[in-house]
Amino acid sequence: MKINTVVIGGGPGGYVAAIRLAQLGIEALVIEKENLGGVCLNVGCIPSKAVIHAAKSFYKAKNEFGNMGIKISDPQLDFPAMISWKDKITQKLSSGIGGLLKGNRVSVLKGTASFVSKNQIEVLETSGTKTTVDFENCIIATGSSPIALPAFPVDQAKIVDSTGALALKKLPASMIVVGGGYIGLELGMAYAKLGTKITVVEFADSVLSAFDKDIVQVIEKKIKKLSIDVLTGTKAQSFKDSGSQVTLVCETPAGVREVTADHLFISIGRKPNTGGMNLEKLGVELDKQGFIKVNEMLQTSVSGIFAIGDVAGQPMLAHKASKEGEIAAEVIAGHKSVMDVRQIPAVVFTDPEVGQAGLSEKEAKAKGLNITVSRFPYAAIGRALTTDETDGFVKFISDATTREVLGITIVGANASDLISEACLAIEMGAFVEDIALTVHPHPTFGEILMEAAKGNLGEAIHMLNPKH
Amino acid sequence: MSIFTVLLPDIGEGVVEGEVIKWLKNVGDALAQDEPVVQIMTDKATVELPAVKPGKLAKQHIAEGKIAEKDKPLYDIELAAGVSAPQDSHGHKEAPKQEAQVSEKPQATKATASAPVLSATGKALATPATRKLARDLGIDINQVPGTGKGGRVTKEDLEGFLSGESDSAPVSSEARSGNLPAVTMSKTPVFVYEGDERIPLRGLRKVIAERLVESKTIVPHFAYFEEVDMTELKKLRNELKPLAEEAGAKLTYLPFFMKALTLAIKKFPIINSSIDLGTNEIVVHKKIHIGMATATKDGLIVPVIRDADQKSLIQLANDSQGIAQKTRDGKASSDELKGSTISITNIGSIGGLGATPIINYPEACILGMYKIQDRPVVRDGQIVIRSMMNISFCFDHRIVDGANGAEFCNYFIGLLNNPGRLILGS
Ligand SMILES: Cc1cc2nc3c(=O)[nH]c(=O)nc-3n(C[C@H](O)[C@H](O)[C@H](O)COP(=O)(O)OP(=O)(O)OC[C@H]3O[C@@H](n4cnc5c(N)ncnc54)[C@H](O)[C@@H]3O)c2cc1C
Repeated sequence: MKINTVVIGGGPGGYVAAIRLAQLGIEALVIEKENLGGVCLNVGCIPSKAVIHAAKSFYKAKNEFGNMGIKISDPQLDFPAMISWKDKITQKLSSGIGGLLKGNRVSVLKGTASFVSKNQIEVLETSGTKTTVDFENCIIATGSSPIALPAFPVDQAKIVDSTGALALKKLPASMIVVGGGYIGLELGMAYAKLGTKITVVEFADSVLSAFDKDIVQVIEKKIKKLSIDVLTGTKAQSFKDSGSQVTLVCETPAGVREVTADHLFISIGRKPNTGGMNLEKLGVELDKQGFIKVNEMLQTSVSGIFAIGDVAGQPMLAHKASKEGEIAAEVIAGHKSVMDVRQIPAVVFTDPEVGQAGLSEKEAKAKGLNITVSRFPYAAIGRALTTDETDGFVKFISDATTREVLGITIVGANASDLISEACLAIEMGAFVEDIALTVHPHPTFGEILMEAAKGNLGEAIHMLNPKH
Repeated sequence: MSIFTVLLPDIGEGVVEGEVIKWLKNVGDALAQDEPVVQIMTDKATVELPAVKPGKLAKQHIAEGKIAEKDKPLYDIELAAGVSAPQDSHGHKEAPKQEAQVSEKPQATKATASAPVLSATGKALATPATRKLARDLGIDINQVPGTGKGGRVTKEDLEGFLSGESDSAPVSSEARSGNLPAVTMSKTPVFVYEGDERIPLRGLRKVIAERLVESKTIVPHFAYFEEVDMTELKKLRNELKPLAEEAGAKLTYLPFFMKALTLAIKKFPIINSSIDLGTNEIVVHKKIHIGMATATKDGLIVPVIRDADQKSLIQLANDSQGIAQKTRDGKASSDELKGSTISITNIGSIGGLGATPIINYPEACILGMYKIQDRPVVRDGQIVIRSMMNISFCFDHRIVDGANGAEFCNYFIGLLNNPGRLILGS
C-alpha cells in the first residue's frame, strides 16, 4: 500500500490531523490499535467527565436540593447503569469519529504500527496479518499511558489505573488514590460524591501542586467537606492483600501508616508512548523526559516525520493534541503554519472546577513580570447565588504598565466553560479594558470575568475596590 | 584549581547575540576582578565585559569575528586559589548595568506606531488572524510597528510593512527601540559569481542599513547647495588657534560651523524639529543637540554634542574632539550616541565638492561640509581668489519648504562669511 501521509494513532491528535489533511487534499491513512478517539474519548476526558457529572448530580440531589426546598427521599444510585450510560456516550462519539473520517475519505487500518524505514511502516493488523505501507510523511500521534509503579502492578481489579477506575463493576466502599494530580483528584472527588470513602496519598505538600496555592485552597475546602482524607508528603511503599481488600503501606511525615480499601487507584502521571515503533532505528530524537523532540512545525529530527499530542510533550491535553494535529497537517500541505499560540488552557473538573489560561500568578512572578493581580469572588455574583454555587473566585493577572491580559485563573462553578473567554482575550492580545468594557449578560457567571477585569482596574462595581 | 565557564550575559533588552570584536586578554593572561576581558559588538552597541572573578583566562570559546550567543559559553576562568565560583554563571548581574541600558524598551503605554511594541511575553500584540496573515506573507510580526491601540499590529500594518512604507516613526531616538523594521530587501535576486565574498549584515552595519532605509523611506528629502567664503573665517581661526592651543584645544572649522548652526536655529527654530506621527504634530526642539557623523572602523556612528548653543567655541572644540575620539575607540556610552536634534557631516577633510547626505531620522535637517579650495570668484566686478567651501543642507520637506530652507541657509552662510557676527551672536 502507498499513501501520502500515515497517521499513527486515532486520538484527538491523530484523527484531527487526518481530517485536516483530507480537507487540504492530502491522502491520509489512520492506524489505530484500539479505538478511534484515543485515550481522550474512550478512557480519558469524555468518560471521566460523564462519571463526574453523574456524581455531581447524585450528590446535589442527595445533599443540596433540600436547600432549594426540593425534597427527594433517599436518591438511589444504580452504579452499573451509570457506567453503561457512560459507555454509550463513548461508543457514540467513537463511531461518530469513524463516520467523520469516512466522510472525509480518510482510510483507517486497525492494528499496531512500527517503522521499517523513514518511508515505510509495518502494521500488525488486529486480524493477525502484516501489511506494509509506504508513505511520504508520517504523523506520530501515539499518545501516552499511565506511569506504572513497579511496587503496584495494575491488574484493573484491586489495583487500577484511570482506565480501570472508569470501568468498575460495582461502586467501591473505599478507594485509595495514589497521586493527587488532576486525574486522581477529579475521579476521587467524584467517587466520594457517590459514597466511596476516599483517601488521597500525595508525595508533594499539596494536591494539584501545579496551581497557585489560593486556587487549591478552594478545592481543599470541598475535599474536607466530602470527608476525603488527604495524606500529603506521603510516599506509597507497598501493598498487602487483605482478602477482598487491599492494604497500602505508606510513609507519612509522621511515620509508616497502613490504609485499607477496596481499590488502589494509581494516578501518578502519564508517559509518552514511544516504545515498540523502532524510533531509535530511524534516529527520531527524544528529549530528557522521553517525549519526541519537535520544532514549532511539529517536525521531528527526521525529515518527513512529525509528532503531535501527548507523545510530543507537555501539556498532555486533548486540545493541545488537536491543535498540533491541524498544524502538522497544514505544514505537510505546504502552508506556513506554526504552533504560535499564546496560551493553552488547562481545565480541571474537580469541585469546584478550575480553568486557567495564560500565566498563573506564580509563573508571572517567576518570570519577574510587573503585574497587577486582582480577585473577584463568586459570592458577589447574583447568578452564583441562584444556582447555590458561591465557592470560588476569578484571579486576573495583567501587565501593570500596558494592562495587557496575561493570565486568568478561575476556580468555581462552570470554570471549564468560562475560561474560553480568557483564552480568546489572551490570544487576541486583549487589554484589561477590552473585557471590562464588554457588556456581559446578566445574570450569568460570565459577569465574573467582566467584574474581575474591572477590579483589575480598581473599578469593580459589585465589590469594594482595595484602596491604593 | 577550578575552572569556571562564563556565559554571554544579558547585554541589552532583546539582544540575543553579539560579535566578538576583540579579546582583550589572551589565554593564560591573569585576570583581575572587573578587568575588561572581551569586546562584544551587538546591533546596539559595543561593550566591554569585565572579568567576573579573578583568575587566569583558561579558554576563549568564541574566536574574534565570530558570534557569541546569549547564555552560551564565552570564556573559561581558572579561578584564583580561594575564589569561589559565582552563583550565576553570567556573573554579570551587577557589572553590566550601565551596558544593559544600551537599549531601551519603548514605553509601551505611550508608544505610537514608531517601533514594534512587544507584549510582556516577548511577542507582538496581534490577533491570531493577523499573526497567520504575517506568516503567509513571510513577515516576522515581531518586527512590525503596530498602529493599533497600545501598539497592536493590524492587518493594514502588515500591508504597509510589505510595501515598505511604515507610515509612522518615532519622534526622538529616545522613544525608539533598537528593534527597527528589518531592512526591506528588494526582490531582485543578487548575482553571485565565483569567488564572491559574503559578509553577514550584522551589528553596526545592519543598524546603519536599517536607519538609513527608515529615513529614506519616510522622509521626503530636499537638498540645497551653497558656498561659504571661508577667507575671513580662515584668518580668524588662524588668529585664535594659538590661543586655543594655550587653553589646550585644537581649533578646527567645525566649532565655528556648530556655532553658526545654533545661531541660525535661534532665528529659524523650525529647522530643529521632528514630526511625531503618533500625534500628528511637529515637535520643535528647544534643546540644540548636534549629532556629529563620525567614521569608525566599523562604520558610521553619530555621537552627540549636547546643548551646543550653550557652549563656547573652545568647549565645542574640546567636546567634539573628545567625543569623536571616544566614539572611534568604541568607548562612547549609549547616552552619548543618541538624542541629537540636528546633525552635521563633515567629509571635507577627506575630499568632495558636494553630496546629498541622508537625514539622521527623526531630525529635520543635516548639514554637509566639504573641501575648502582656493577658487576664483567675482567680488565687486573683479575676479579674485578666495578660500571657498561648498556646503549642502538636506531638509525634511514635510517641515521645511524651499523658501524657508533658503532663508535659513542664507542667514547661516552670512554668519560664516562674516565671522565677526558669530561673536556678535546675530
Ligand atoms: C482519566 C483522564 C482524564 C483526562 N481528562 C482530560 C481533560 O479533561 N481534558 C484534556 O484536555 N485532556 C484530558 N486527558 C488527557 C487526554 O486524554 C490526552 O491529552 C489526549 O488523549 C492526547 O491525545 P493524543 O492524540 O496525543 O493521544 P491518545 O489520545 O493517547 O491517542 C493515541 C492513540 O494512539 C494509539 N496507538 C498508540 N500506539 C500505536 C501504534 N504503535 N500503532 C497504532 N496505534 C497506536 C492508541 O491506541 C491511542 O488510541 C485525560 C486523560 C485521562 C487518562
